[in-house]
Amino acid sequence: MINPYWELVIFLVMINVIFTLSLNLILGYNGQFSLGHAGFLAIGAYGSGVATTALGLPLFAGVLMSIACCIVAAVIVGYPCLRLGGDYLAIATLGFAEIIRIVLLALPEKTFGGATGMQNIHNIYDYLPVPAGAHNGIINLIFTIVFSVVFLALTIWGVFALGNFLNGVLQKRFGGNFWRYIVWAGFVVLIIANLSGTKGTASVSAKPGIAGYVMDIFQFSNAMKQPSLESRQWLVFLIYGLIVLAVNQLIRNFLNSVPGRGVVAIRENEIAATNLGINVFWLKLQNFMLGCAFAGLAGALLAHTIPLIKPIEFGFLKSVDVLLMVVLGGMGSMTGSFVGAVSISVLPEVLRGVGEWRMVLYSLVLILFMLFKPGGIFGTNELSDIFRLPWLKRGRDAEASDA
Amino acid sequence: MDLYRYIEKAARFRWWFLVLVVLAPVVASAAGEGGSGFTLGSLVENLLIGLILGSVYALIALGYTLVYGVIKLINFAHGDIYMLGAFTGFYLLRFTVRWLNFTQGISLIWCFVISVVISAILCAALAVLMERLAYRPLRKSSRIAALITAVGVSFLLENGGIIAFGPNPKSYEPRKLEVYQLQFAGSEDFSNARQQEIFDRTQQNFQSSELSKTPYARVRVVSKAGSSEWSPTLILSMDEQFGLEEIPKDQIANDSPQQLASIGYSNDSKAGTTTVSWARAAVADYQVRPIFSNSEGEQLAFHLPIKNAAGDDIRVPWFNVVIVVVTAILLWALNILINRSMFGISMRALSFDMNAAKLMGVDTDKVIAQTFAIGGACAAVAGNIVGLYNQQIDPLMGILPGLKAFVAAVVGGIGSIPGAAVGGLIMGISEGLVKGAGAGKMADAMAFAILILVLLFKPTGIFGRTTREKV
Amino acid sequence: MTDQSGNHHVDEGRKILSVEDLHVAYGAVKALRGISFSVKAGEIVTLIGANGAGKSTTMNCIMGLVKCQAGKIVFLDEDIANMHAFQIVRKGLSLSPEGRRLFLNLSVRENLEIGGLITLDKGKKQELLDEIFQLFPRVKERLTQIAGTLSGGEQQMVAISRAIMQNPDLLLLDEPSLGLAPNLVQEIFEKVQILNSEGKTILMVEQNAFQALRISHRAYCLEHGELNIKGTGAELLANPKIKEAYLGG
Repeated sequence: MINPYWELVIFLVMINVIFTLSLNLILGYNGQFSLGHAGFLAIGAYGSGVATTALGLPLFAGVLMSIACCIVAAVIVGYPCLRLGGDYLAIATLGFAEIIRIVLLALPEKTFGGATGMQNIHNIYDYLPVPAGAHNGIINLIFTIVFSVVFLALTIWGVFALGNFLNGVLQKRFGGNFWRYIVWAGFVVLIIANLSGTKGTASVSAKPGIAGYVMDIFQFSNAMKQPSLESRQWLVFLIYGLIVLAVNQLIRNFLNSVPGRGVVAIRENEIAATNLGINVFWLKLQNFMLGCAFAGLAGALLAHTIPLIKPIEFGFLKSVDVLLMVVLGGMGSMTGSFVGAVSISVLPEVLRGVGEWRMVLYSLVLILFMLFKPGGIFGTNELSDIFRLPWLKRGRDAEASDA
Repeated sequence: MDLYRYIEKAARFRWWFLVLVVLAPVVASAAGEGGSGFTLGSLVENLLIGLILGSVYALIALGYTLVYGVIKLINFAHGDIYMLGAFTGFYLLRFTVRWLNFTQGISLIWCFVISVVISAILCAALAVLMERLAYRPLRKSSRIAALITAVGVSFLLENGGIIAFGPNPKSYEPRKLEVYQLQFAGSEDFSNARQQEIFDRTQQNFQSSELSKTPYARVRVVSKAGSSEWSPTLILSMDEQFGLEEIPKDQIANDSPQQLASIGYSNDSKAGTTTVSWARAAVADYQVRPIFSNSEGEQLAFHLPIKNAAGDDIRVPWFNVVIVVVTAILLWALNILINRSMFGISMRALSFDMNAAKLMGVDTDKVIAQTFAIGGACAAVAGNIVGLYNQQIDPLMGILPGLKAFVAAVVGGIGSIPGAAVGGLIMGISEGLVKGAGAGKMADAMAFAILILVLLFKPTGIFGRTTREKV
Repeated sequence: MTDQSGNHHVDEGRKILSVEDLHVAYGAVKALRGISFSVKAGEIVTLIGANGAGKSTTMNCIMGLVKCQAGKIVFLDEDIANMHAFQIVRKGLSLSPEGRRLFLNLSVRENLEIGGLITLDKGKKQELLDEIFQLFPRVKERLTQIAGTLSGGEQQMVAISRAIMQNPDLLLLDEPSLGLAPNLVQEIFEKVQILNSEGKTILMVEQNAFQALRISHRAYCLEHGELNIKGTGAELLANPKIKEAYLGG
């Protein structure tokens, strides 16, 4: 059992990884500067928060709503700004984040909490499957983990198959690879849906999530009792880790697809990309939408992880934080995002003694990195480019021998 | 039907944005707490406030527009240079009021002018330094790197400002200026006494060992108008922790311009120091008056024959007129400079093609540094004006006005000085009106809504020219 | 070298530019591998060569836009290698760059004025302007027009005029005929010859080898960053290798 303080730090690191990856997709891979990414995090957090509390929707619907809100917001900001070259997006997203913050403060306090924040959002622990009956702990722990892994693997496989099928069908209908990552996004949602029940209130009894129902079907619940606190904690770590990996895989797949390569081509040279027949604006907008959708996901997870969300937490400082994570790790490197997010999230805990100089150090790190190592720690390299491990190398060699 | 085309077509239909433009002010005024709409008086009043804000935004926007025009960099740190301008101006004004106005009798307006000029020079130097250290090494790397560095520099200045000046707002409110003359002597007749002056209630520490030789002390208030009587003698005894001499009411000298009510000292035996301080001194007529005030200390103003909401004639301080006039003169002069002078031509040439400009013999580094200097100086002037206008400054004051000024530069057309002026006025007046309608919270959101609308309908801004990007 | 009115005096026949063993590399790619040549006062010297031979690199390196790794560039007894471009211009060299590089956002007059930035004397400026108007009457007609609205030929004229406004001892022309119609090419080379006959020394880089060699006194042929063939313009025109490679047999 990890103590609650470090537990929260680990959760925040994982959420920050998703958040950083989402900005890296926009800034690192597409070269578009979003300086108000915290605004999308706020939309995600409040979207899911309001959906699950005021509207009483289950968790996965809340997450879906967060993502949908973020995509809509991304279109509103991105449509005017991405058409123009230059740095308009930076200033517009910065302004947008500010608008979001002000609007959140102005919205009705009963639902949105106002300046004091939303406190009544259900924690992720409330959504874990709740079996009935009373039995021993160790079996229960093993069972929970094994069951989750097996169930998730089945789901993944199912989504893969369904995704391939849908892609085949829809490609004929619409052309392009657009549906592919919608399906991938669906997969992430399903993982969450797996585990999402609704929290019980005085009037409504708690409903187990899909996993809970499945357990009931197989009558496993008779052999189980309420999982111990420790096993529940590991389960949540497992869920978050899987979501991080899924997001990582989604982005990697997207970047290796045809539109993904187009996104990178736009970063390298927009005019050349136009001449390759890429609809630059539309692809930039799609990419921006995708990045913001992941930011929404991170926001939704954040809302269900920390006890209180406040508009002031989603200010400019948060945007600079995530910018620093991307820059430190390396713009255009997934590994870099992981490293950046982990180090910047843990740094405040280390720098606790520095006090008010912490922010000065932050900004100095940002400037010095830009001056002396503008690519960040990893540049555009991945871990597999640096350590050529045999099992990581194989794919690359195969590509090379094909060419 | 192709999905992409469909979405794109739907998005191209931009009528709803037009509706937004029309609705925004209505919504803003409806959102006001008990907003009863505008009367003519309140409209004029808010327009005037907007005009002041607009001048300030225009001055800040100038720096953005020049720098962006030359090296295509959104200098995020510009708003913080404005903040530093306000702070240097604040401290310089304190300094000049104390040393020039109070002791030399030079008029307050000159003190203000001197502090504005010096802070403009300091900020110009700072802007040049910033360019030299942070932006010049990145001239050849990607624009994103430069932009991130600009964010970093801005962050550094803000947090540095918090550490240097403290996180709390500083207030310009009129303060009592006091100079105390202290005498220490070994005997009660003060024949060859040691003299010491202390300003403004700042306390001073003395070594106990030093004072034990000269235990007799007395004090008076001095100024250019005359000095008060010496206070009754205070005997500093190092054994006591605290000593106070109350001056009886009847002993307070009525004819002297200042009145000393009591003096005191405290003794810290551990550190071996004595702190001499004064409890009460009535020096009412040495308050710093507002700049542009009459002899009674009231702000000079004139009245418009229009009634405001409270039913009085609208009062316009002359200081506000000065703000607008100074801004207009500065903008006009810079416009001439950019359009007519060789410097302006070099600058515009440089912004179009840096290497070709080098081939023409333009010292590009110097021109860029000069551009930063001009922007920094204008921001400092704006900072000084805002400090005096709001009577309050804080280390984070630069963020929002900086952003709004950039929006103003975009609205007016980036790279154009008349554009900066018009954009600034649009931002200022819209903010004034929205605040006047009672929706003060929404004023900041309004600025960015305007930005997004402008980017939709006329991305090059009002005075902007369409330029093709070179292949 | 410069008297009070800003006139430069260079003796006829004296070496004014000599490049010795110049090496330039862009990262790992070597663009120039030790080229040496010289320009004497009153000459037209041409560098010809295929694409990527390093012609424009040579010009940019002389003007200080590209740093050289080794070698000397001596202009009027002074080593100017790796000086800043704006300092080199003030020494009396001027380049009309490849692709003209006019300031398309400025008017023609402003373009000429910025050319005259380093010529401080007003009378001298007017004199140069008159000279330009005589040489290119078209420029005078277009004086108030924005440079971006001019045609290619007119832009080239303005580009050369702008270089003349700097009153250089040595005029460097990088591809003056690039992208122009054949009759305009003819006209430009005629103007270059007139300029030379008025006493300007000219170093030229040209793809249009035939036209360029015809008017030049001496010429060099650059191949893969090395100077292989040199001689007078007529000699190079007669050289079978050059004929085969650049003149189409």
